[in-house]
Amino acid sequence: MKRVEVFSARADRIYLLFFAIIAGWIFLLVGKELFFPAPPIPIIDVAAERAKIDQAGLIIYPGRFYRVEGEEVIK
Amino acid sequence: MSGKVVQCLICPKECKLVEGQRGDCRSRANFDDKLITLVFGAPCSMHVDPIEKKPLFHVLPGTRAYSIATAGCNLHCKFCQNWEISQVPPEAIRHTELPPAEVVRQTIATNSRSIAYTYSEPVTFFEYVVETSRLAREKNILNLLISAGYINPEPQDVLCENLDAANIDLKGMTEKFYRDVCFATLKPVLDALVRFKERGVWVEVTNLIVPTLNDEAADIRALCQWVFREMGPHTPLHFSRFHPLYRLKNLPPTPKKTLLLARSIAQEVGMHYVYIGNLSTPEGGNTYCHNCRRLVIERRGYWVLQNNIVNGRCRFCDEPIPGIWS
Repeated sequence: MKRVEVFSARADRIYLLFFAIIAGWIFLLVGKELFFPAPPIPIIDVAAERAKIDQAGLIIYPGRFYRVEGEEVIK
Repeated sequence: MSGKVVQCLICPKECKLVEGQRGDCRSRANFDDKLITLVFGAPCSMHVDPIEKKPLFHVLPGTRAYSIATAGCNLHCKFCQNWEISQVPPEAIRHTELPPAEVVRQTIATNSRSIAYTYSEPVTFFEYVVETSRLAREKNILNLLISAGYINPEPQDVLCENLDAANIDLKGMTEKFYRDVCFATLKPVLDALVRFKERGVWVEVTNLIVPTLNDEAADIRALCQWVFREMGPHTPLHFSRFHPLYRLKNLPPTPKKTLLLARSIAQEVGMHYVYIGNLSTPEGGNTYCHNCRRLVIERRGYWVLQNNIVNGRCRFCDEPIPGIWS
């Protein structure tokens, strides 16, 4: 009888640890977004931006030192 | 068009931009998955200034600098003294079409010995500076950068190829000040200062003293000690007076005694060439030989009244005076 109690207490701890890991995992998945949300992707009216630039008579000139995602740095 | 994110690598902010989005400087953008600049050949300010106005006190004194600026800046200092052009997008302000070759032509036509990239922030019109400075050097015109020095090392190296002198605004000596007041960080500026020196660019340092924000004696001493240690005692150091503008209209102008105190701290630390700007003081604009202590350049405001430097040396003791004199 005593051996069963010992086994039961150990099992409780194992279950507790298991649930803690699951809860932590859920927190990382859901809580991270909830508490530390990624900055929203800005919605740009590209046509309006181009119109502003054209109206001001500004010239679009190639820039230097930038990286396009997934590609090498352009110098 | 695939709508990829483009990351600008000109300055330490390294803005990530979606299609059509502008960088923090407002003058660089992502169009068609490419980084573009909107201010190439489009200055909003062009003036012929005395070189002392930059301020550069150890570069061709008494000469003119053809000065240009475009709209935009990668910093947003609450005390900005040129906010009308630096804190607006290029389409919000009138500009003139002035390609690099025309800048050089105007420089020669106005009897200017140098071109100053100034007023706003030349880092944000990087491509325009690089192309203009290349053409200017071919005509033996000096290139002067007046900047906050907030630039990444690789583009800085490209700038340095044709750069002769720079005045870098070291705005404070704490990360907190840079973060809260300028919306930037201190370390890249310190790194850029050292890098300019290492690349052989003549460097002068300016510190605008803003009451209650960076006017503590300890802050000023820390700044002087850093300049002394990393840039050397011959580096000219300019303490500038703040005027209430932009978002700090509630503060008073810098008291004269604060500027005089800053100058005495710098001299105590061991700096040889310390100046006071934006305020007329009897000695604050003069250059004294670090060896014999005699007056070598007397200035009133932006005007040079006498110049006792001959072939780069003090007329009285023949000691070389650091700077660009011919």
